Amino acid sequence: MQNSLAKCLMFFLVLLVVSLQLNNSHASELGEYHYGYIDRETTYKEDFYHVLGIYAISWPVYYLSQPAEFRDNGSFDKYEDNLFKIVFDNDEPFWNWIVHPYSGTQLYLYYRANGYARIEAFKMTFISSTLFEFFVEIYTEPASAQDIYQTPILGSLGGLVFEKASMSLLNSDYRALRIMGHILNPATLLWFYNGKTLMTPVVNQDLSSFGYQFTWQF
Amino acid sequence: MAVLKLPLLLLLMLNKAYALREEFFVQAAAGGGFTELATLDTNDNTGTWNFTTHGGFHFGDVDLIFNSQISIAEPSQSKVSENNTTFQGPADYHSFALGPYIRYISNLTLDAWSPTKDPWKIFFGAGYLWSISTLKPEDDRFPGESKLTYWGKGPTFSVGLIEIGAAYPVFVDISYKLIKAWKVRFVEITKDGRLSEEQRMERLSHRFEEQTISINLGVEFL
Repeated sequence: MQNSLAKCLMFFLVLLVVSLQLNNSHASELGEYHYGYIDRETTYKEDFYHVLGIYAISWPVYYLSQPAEFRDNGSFDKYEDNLFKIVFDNDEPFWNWIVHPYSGTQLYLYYRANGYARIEAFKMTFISSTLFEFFVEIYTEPASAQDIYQTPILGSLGGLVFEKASMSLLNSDYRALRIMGHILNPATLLWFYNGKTLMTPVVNQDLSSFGYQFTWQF
Repeated sequence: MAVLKLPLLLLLMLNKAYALREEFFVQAAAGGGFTELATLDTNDNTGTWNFTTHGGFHFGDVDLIFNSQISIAEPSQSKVSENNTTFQGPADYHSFALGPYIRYISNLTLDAWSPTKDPWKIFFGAGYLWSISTLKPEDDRFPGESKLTYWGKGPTFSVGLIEIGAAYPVFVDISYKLIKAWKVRFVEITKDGRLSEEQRMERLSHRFEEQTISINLGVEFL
C-alpha cells in the first residue's frame, strides 16, 4: 500500500516535470530561462503564514508517509502524554540520518524558493521541523533530540548541496538534466519560486547595440 | 489550542532575534580516527568514521556551539552481556552525541605556511556530550533483529586550525571524546524497520566506555 502510494506520487511528479518542461519549449524560442535564487527581505506575517502552512501540511504528509504507524500507534491520548517530552530515540539510522535530513533538505529548498536567504532558510527550517517534532510527530512518539538537531542542520547542508547541483542541472542545455534538476529540487516547479528568469536577446534595428532583456514572473 | 500559541510565538520571536546577529553559523566536518571501546573486561581498538556538525554563534573570539558527533565503527572483539549470556566478537557500533561546546579562536595565526590566501588561526574547544550508542553483535546467538543501546555522557576536547575571512571557511581539528554509559536498553527492531521497541531498560552494572580520537576536516557552509 505504502509502496504503491510512493510509486504513484513519483509517477505524477515525473509527469508534472515533463509536462512543465514541454510547456517551456515555447518560451525557449524567445530566449532562455536562467534558474537562480533572488534573496529578499521577508516579514513576520510572511514567516507566520509559511510556518502555519507547513505545519498544516505536515499532518497529511505524516499520515501518508506512515499510515500503519499512524493508525496502530497514534492517538490524541498519546499526543497529550508526549507534549513537551524530549527523548533520544532508538530509530534506525536510515530514518534518523536519511529520511529526517532529507525532509529538512526539502524544507530548506521550499524556503529558498520563497526568497529567503540561506541563513534565514535554515532558521525557518529549524522552526518548521521543531514544530513538526513537538506538535505533529508526538501523535505517535515523543519528540526526538536527534531529529530536532539533525533535521535542520543536516537538512540545510543537504539543501545547499541540492541547491547548487539542481541549479547547474536546470541551467544545462539538456532536457534530461533539467528534469533531473526539478526532481532534485521540486520547489522550483511551484508558483512561488521567484528565481526563474527569462533572458531574451535584444538587438537594435541598426545593429548598433546588443544585449539581454531579463523577465521575472512574480 | 492556547497551549500551542505561546511556543509558536516564542519560536517566531527567536527567529527574528537571531536574524539581527550576523555571526550565526553552521559547520559540518568529516574525518577518521581510532576508537577504544571498553566493554566488560575487554578493551577493543578499532578504526572509526566521524561526522561532526556545529550550529552556533560567533561572539568575537568565542564561538558558542551546539555540537553533534556521529561515530561509526566495527569493533572486532567487543564483549557484551545480555540476558546472562556473554557475546564476544565482531559487532556494528555507532553513536550519536549532542551537547554544548565552546570554542576559543586564538590570535595565533599561521601566515607563513597558510595553505590558502586567507590567514589560519589556532583554536581550542571544549564541551560536554550526551550520547546514545548502539551495539549490534554479529554473534549468531544474538537475536537477529535486536540491538543494545547505551546512554552515555562525557567531555570532548579539540584543537585545530580555522581559516579566517573566506566565504566558506575551512577548518581542521583533532578531537577527543570520552563517553561513559550508565544505562542500557535491549531493543527490538520493528517489522517496518523504523522504530525499535524497547524490551528492557536497566542501569548498567558493568563498564561501557568509548574513547575516540579523530582528525576532522570541515567547512562553515552557512
